[in-house]
Amino acid sequence: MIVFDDVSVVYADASEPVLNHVSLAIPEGELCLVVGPSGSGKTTLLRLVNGLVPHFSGGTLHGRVTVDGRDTRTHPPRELADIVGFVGQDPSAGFVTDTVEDELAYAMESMGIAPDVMRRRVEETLDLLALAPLRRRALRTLSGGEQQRVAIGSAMTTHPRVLVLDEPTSALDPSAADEVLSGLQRLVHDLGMTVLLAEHRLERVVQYADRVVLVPGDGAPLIVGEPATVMRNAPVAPPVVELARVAGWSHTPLSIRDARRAAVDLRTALASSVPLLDADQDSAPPIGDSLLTLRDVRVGYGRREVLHGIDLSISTGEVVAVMGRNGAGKSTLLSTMVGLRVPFAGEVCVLDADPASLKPKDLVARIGLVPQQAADLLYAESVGEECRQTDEDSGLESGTTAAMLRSIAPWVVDSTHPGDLSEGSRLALALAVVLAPDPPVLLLDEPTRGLDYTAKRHLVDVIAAASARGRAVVIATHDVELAAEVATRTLVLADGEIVSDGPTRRIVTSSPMFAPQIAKTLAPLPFLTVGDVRRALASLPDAG
Amino acid sequence: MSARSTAIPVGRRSLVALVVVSLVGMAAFSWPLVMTPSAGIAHGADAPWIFAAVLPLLIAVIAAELADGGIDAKSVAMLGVLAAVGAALRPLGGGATGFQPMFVVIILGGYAFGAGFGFVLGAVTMLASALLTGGVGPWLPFQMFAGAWVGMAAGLLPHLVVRGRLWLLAAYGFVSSLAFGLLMNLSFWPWALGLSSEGASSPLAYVAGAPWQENLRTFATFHLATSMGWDVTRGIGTVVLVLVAGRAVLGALHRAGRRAAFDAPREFVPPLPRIGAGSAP
Amino acid sequence: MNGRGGLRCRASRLLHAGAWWLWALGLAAAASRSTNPLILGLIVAVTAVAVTLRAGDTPWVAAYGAAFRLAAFVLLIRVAFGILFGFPIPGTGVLTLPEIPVPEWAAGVRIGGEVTIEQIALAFYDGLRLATIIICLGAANALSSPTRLLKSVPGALYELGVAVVVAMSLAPQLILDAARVRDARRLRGRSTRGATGVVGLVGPVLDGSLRRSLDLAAAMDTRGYGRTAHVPAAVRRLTSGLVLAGVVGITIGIYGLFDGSSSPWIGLPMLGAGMLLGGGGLLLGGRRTARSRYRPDAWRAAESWVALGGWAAAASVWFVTTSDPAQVEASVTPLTWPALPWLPVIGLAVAALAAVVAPAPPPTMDIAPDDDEPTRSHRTGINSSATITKSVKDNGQVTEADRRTAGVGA
Repeated sequence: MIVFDDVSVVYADASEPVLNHVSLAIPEGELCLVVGPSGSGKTTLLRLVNGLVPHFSGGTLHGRVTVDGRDTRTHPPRELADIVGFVGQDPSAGFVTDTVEDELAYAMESMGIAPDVMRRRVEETLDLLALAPLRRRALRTLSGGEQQRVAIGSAMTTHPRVLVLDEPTSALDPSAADEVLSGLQRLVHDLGMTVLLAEHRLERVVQYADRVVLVPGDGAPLIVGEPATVMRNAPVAPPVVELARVAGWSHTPLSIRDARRAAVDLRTALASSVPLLDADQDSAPPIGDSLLTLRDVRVGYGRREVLHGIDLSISTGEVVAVMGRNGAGKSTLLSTMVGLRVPFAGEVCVLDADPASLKPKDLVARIGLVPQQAADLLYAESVGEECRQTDEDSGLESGTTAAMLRSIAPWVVDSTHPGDLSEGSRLALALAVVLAPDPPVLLLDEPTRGLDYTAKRHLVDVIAAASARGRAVVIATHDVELAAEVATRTLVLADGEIVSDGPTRRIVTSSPMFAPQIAKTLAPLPFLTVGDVRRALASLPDAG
Repeated sequence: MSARSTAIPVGRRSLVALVVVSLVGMAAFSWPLVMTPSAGIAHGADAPWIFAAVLPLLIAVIAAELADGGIDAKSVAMLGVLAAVGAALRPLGGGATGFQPMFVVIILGGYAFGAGFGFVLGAVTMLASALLTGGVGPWLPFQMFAGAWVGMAAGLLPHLVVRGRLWLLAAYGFVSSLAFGLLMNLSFWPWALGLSSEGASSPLAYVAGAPWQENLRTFATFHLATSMGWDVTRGIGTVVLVLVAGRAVLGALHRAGRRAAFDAPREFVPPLPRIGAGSAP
Repeated sequence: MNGRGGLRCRASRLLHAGAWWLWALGLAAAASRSTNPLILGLIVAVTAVAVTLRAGDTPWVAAYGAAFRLAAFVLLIRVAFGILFGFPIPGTGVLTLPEIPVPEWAAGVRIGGEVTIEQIALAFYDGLRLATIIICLGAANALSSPTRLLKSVPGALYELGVAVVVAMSLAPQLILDAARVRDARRLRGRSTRGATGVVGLVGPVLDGSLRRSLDLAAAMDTRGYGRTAHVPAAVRRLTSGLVLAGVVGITIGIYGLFDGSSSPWIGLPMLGAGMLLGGGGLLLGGRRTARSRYRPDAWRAAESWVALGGWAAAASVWFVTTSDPAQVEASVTPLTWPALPWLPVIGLAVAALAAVVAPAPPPTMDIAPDDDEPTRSHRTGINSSATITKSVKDNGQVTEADRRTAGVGA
């Protein structure tokens, strides 16, 4: 169905090729997963299928890409629109019309399909993706998962043979992500569609894939093969695969079910190490003074109340994960903590001051927030300029921020414009900017969106270092692996209220939806991460 | 920085159409001064309405000509976004002071992306902002034309070094603000001071049938007395904005132009020669 | 539906966008011919009836209110000009302004001086005419949103219609972006007040929106934007010919209008012919895009009745203007209460009737969102600066004033 014949791509203002000598054939009806670190060329690979590279982006294409017999050299994207459907990273940025129905019909209109055929296909797509109750809604009023479904639907109404998706679940919470992925799974099996999918959060999706393409980056050759084979030795892998490596299993499990079957012996072996985990808990540093307090806080917009009566206290050295589905109020909670939202009632106290009334300079010295879109914080012309301005603004010694950035992300070049950085580098720059004045309280809003595993590991290191220095860190996330890795305490928000609050190990294992993969695999043993398992195995009498 | 990108190329036929329609448009704006006293409609109250009806068709014709080869999706999207920025800025310009930050967007957009783009940007920004802020009136076609000219002329300005660029644009901003005000006032003059067929209602009104020298003098007085203050404020505001925010805006536009790769070559060549190991099976 | 034609088709549906615009333009044309305040007031009343009964619940309905504000502003300006610059019409003096000396070359012009009530009345009547036209256009905006009108744009202007639609849907989004960036400035330790605060927003908001425009363009390309149909050479030549003939016709027509000494055939008729030819060329030029329309608005009998109703009003006023001009002009010397001629009343009643018997719009299901992220825009159509700032405030963006008052009580 899709054939890459010795393809290399060099962009107009680059000297090195992004992809080098790629030869790949994807047969019909396969779900092919493309993985690799940020900036490695995954997006380029996906856009080659569509013709967006090089027709839209400019550049030189060496070799040939053929989709269902059509060569992308002679077929620009609009000529391939009837056989390839493409869903980009940000669905809301790709909406051309105002309402759901019009958006679904847009592609068909462009192709001049007859009105009655259009009508029928729109109805079919609405049913297929369960969008019928939303048909007349304005696109702007939909939730993230609904928008993603509309984007997929609008790519499908032309009945394409190939569907290409670039990180479809990055902005979604786990349940919405599962909906989208199982919908794709159904498309492949019921309609025989070929699906090409790029994703960072492998744990959600690798079990559905028929084939995995690993793009290592820097022009290195691609590694293509069956999921289990590729994942066994891949630098980026979901936790169950890492567990297989640590435990030395011969067969690499990809789903929780496979992992549980393989882990029977491991569970018996580790049963004796459970008391050690509790001992770990006790040896954790004692909780210090309270840095951030919320007392009976009620926050809302206009006449709608979003947070009802939050009582919370966060102390030195704590790393708190705030979890909950999209819309539960996590972002609002963080905004209230930093003083961007003023509560109707109740009080917020950061180091004995109300953040809303502080001057910006004083605010930054006490509490820092990295918002969901890290790019909002960055507005200088270059990375170096950004660092210099932060030093000036906070009265720091010149070079502090740059040093902080180098410790988090040493590969970032000083002269790059912040808008041209990859997601991980942008987050690193935003972190450096917020951490440079060394505020006692640090807030992070969805930091792992769009990050690959390597960048996530760097983030975890930064957070651990901050916590060791006695800073308090609050992370709003629905990435349960991150919470398991780094948080000491977890809060669950639902419908504007805190429904559970306690040590991470207890909260995260008590709910099947929120449990990390290791916890699900080794249940009922309370292990959360591969690190836990590694330490437990090392401490066993016959360690080996 | 690379050379200025041309988002909407202007072919020969489009150029001819642009020139012809611009001349007709100028006539439509300046009819109080240009119309001979014995013309049939000069005495009636109909002239401004006729022109208000003709101008939209002329704008449509030009737009269709420019779009004839098909406007790229990137140009359309860029056009939409810049027009949205202009439309969002329009409420910020107080009507009383005449300060219009929207102009800066049209001027800088035209400068960065060429005359054809500037023309269309001016027209679309005026239309979208009028629809969004409820400023739809019989002056809208005139505003669209004048805004389009401002954008087009900005696109024809020479491309200078960074520092000189801002001063050039600031000067152009001042001149074009005054010119815009003059044109709009000229078109609005008959409405502002009376069209009744009983004769002039004001010594400053357009007198149908008077020789053009008299009308010109009357209009000059009217313009100086009324709109000049607003125009000067608008001009000064534009100059200040261009000097203060111009570099950031032009930088963003150039980056966007580079990313959009309007003029970048697209080549298809045989595979690269193989050096060392081949790809995986 | 039933054999008696569209007047009886009462099933609730949205009329074709053009029908309401034609109706409103007919009323505007009627208003342009008269300064009789009673007639003008009646026209405003007819538009109010139509908007109340037939406007639906889209956010564009606010355009009508905005039009009233604009109309009041214009009226005020016209009266102010009349007071300052008007001819001294002899009559009852009302107030006396200081007279401003005028330079010699502008002699004969008087600024200030004694102001009579006749002078004010004349300015008022004149301004009322323009105000009424603005209100008619606002009613058109409210009754059929411009986005729907843009869908019916001829094919030759399709790309520009898309640009206008994109602009109108992105503008509210940009304002929310700006609010978010302003919050982020505070997080960086920078002041958000004053000129530096505002200018600092420009770069990030512009960058973000330009980046988004590129994503939008990629999505459009991917979905087949820009496919051209094969148009035979003969049709293409015909299109160019029509457009050329149209422009030439308009040019000649305008020349003829300007030059009083030329034959009457060169004036308006040429202009009309030119406009028809140009319009035809535009319509034919739409053949080059290979697009179809999903659920296009149908033009049924009801639309024709509505459009005709508006122009019936225009015709009635025009008829009276030619037969008895004094009735449609409000007389200022002497200043008497104007009379209401009966023919325009009938014409306007027909227009009102056409609006009332038109099908009602179905209720729109624009359900309020239930997520709390401040980055989502909660309104889709915004019509005045007041509404824009109001919607931003409703989204909970805290202004400096709010912060200060809250800080006092903390």
